[in-house]
Amino acid sequence: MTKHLLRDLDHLKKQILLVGSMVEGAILKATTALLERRPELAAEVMHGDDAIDAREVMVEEECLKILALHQPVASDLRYIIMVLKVNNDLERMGDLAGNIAERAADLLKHDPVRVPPEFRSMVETVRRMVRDALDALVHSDVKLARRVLTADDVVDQVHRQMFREMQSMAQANPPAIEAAINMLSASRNLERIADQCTNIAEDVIFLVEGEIVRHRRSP
Amino acid sequence: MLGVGLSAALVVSFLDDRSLVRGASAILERELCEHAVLLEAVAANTLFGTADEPALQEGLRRLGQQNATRYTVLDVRGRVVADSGADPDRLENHLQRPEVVAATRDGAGSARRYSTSVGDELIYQARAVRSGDGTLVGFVRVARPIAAFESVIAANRQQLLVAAAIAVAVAALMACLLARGIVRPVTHLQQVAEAMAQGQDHARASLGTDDEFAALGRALNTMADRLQVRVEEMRRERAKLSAIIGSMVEGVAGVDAEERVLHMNAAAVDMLGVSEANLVGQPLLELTRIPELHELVTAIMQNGEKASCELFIQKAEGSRVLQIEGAPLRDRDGAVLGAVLVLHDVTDLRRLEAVRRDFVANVSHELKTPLTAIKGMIDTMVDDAAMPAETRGRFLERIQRQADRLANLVSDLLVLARIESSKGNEDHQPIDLRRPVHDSCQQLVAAAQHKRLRLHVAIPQDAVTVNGEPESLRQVVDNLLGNAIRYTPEGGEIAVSIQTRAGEAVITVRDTGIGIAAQHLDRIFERFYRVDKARSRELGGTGLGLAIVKHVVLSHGGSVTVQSWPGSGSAFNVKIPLALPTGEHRMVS
Repeated sequence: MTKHLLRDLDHLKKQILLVGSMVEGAILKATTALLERRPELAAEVMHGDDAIDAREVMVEEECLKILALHQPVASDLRYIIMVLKVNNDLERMGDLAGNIAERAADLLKHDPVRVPPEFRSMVETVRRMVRDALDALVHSDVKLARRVLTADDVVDQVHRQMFREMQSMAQANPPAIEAAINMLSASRNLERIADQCTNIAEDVIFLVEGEIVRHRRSP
Repeated sequence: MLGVGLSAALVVSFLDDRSLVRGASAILERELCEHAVLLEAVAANTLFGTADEPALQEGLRRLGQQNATRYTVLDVRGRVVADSGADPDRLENHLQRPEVVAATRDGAGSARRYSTSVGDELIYQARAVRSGDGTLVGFVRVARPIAAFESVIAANRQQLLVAAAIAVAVAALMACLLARGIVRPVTHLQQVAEAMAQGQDHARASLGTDDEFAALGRALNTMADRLQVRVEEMRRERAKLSAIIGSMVEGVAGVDAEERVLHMNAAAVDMLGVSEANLVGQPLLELTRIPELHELVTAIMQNGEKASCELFIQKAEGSRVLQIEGAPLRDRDGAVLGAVLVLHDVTDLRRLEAVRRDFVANVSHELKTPLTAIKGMIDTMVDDAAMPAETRGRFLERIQRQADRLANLVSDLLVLARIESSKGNEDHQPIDLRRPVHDSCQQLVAAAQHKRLRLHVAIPQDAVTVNGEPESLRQVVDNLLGNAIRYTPEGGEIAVSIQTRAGEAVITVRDTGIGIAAQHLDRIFERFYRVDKARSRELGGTGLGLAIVKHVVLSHGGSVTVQSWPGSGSAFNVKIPLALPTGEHRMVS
């Protein structure tokens, strides 16, 4: 019985990790498409979203199966609940990556616009957050998870800065208004991805410490 | 050992005890027998028939007291005539006593039993007494209490026990000594064997005496020597293998059935971007987080067949294309134990393939476009004989322009072909680099002014001598400057400069043009590679300019690099090694 549960949990871990790596890849490709103007990568991300959705459903079914079959308690139960939540977050992140890819595809139809250096650093930060959040998930690393939580503040700040930047760019150069809107939309999607990363980090903390840290962060 | 000694001693003492008892009773019986024979002899002549029974009784009593023996005289019918231990009148008839029965039958008999008349356990000896003519006249019986000789036996037994105890002690001592002689070498051998088992390669048995243990120790040492040689061989073999795998350019990774990493060489770690230090035993997916890799491994293990895939990996320093070949790892019975992956970095290969594929397509396309235009216009002119002279002139002008373009293209191709086919630099000679740069600027200054571009030329005062071919170098500057003029909007600036540093001459052409996006920078030196195909052709480029630049610079032993800021300009740096001053040159030659 326990052996079966262990095996199923191991399988589940592999599955959630698979969703995570697919989403991580999608985010990498979408941002690369945007920064390096590569339409083929954007198209790849947009096509890949269905696969992520299918995997998400598989993971959820797996969770329900384990719950019904083994009726786990204590840390096993917490783990499955965490996987369910992280699964949700990851699927959402996949959608957001798809949005960024769409924005990128749109931007690529027009002349290149100057990408503010803040945006590049934001992309870097968000990529790092995604990687850290997944690493924290893999290793149940609370320290890393807490680092993800603090990194989110930086992203929020850069996003606000991007808003002002794009505003002034649109005012200075009205024909570039479409590009500015696309850029801003991409920035917002990135900011949301960062938010989802913090959700995952919080879920990891919940798994390890059994403590719900949501809504508790100092403003 | 001690136990054996002890039990042997006990057995000996037990046996001794038994034989002691048997011997003692035999002696007693013989003694009694002698008494009985004596008594019988006396009795045959004197005892029977005398009427003085009380005197006989008295005599026997005294005799019995002296000898601590009971004497009894019976007549033929079994009546006790006299008894040394009891009053004969009170004794019952003794004819049915076993010893008397035996004596009646055989002439003599013995028995051992409890006597109620004396109140003790006695051993009896009876004899039939016959007169001179052989008629039975009566019986004599002699008896002695068993206790009498048992006390003797007890005394003997005590002595025997002491002797046995001493024997045991001696046996134990000897056993100990003997055991130590045997056990010590055995323990030593055992310790040595255990040390070997624990991996102490240099543990060896010491051979003291020349006996069976020494032989065993020698065998053990021989085995250890052989084993050490084997282990050393295996260790060397493994080191060789891991050195080979470790220094391979291809990445090699092995995983077990649970997709946990068994081995991963440095190249694979680098290609897959694994940051973990401790990889062995970690799940592959956790380390790499590349879903395609997981799918490949799963497919290999499910089907038990080789498989391959191509991976696109995004890294901080750019994207790479990896070709991955995988094969199942099997045990001797053919069961799948895991998978081995071999990773090739095919990024450059894929790019070269794309370049070659593009080149043929591009050449045909580039040649066909002006040809189609020329043919179309000539056809029109042939069909329309009555074409107005003005229109005809315009058509001819266009045909001329397209023909020029074709000529440019072909000549560029020829230049490229020439550069590529010329192996050495035999026609290189020391020249002043300022000359071709200056000529080129002179020629193109008009075009720049036409577009209202400001052209800054910074050429040093002193000669800059390089080994080279002036016409090719001029073409390099022509192409770079031509591109700068072409892609810089009106009112922009272009700066051309020559600098010398670290043994190299550096020609820099910098503009404030539209710039080149980062993903194109790797490829702009390829033939016919165009950032924007329509725009480039519209501006009159052949798509070969930068390819020629690159080839010329390479044939001069130099390098060309580009930096660009999309929207704000580009800078091309051509580096060509300076020629050695003539004096040094002579010294070398």
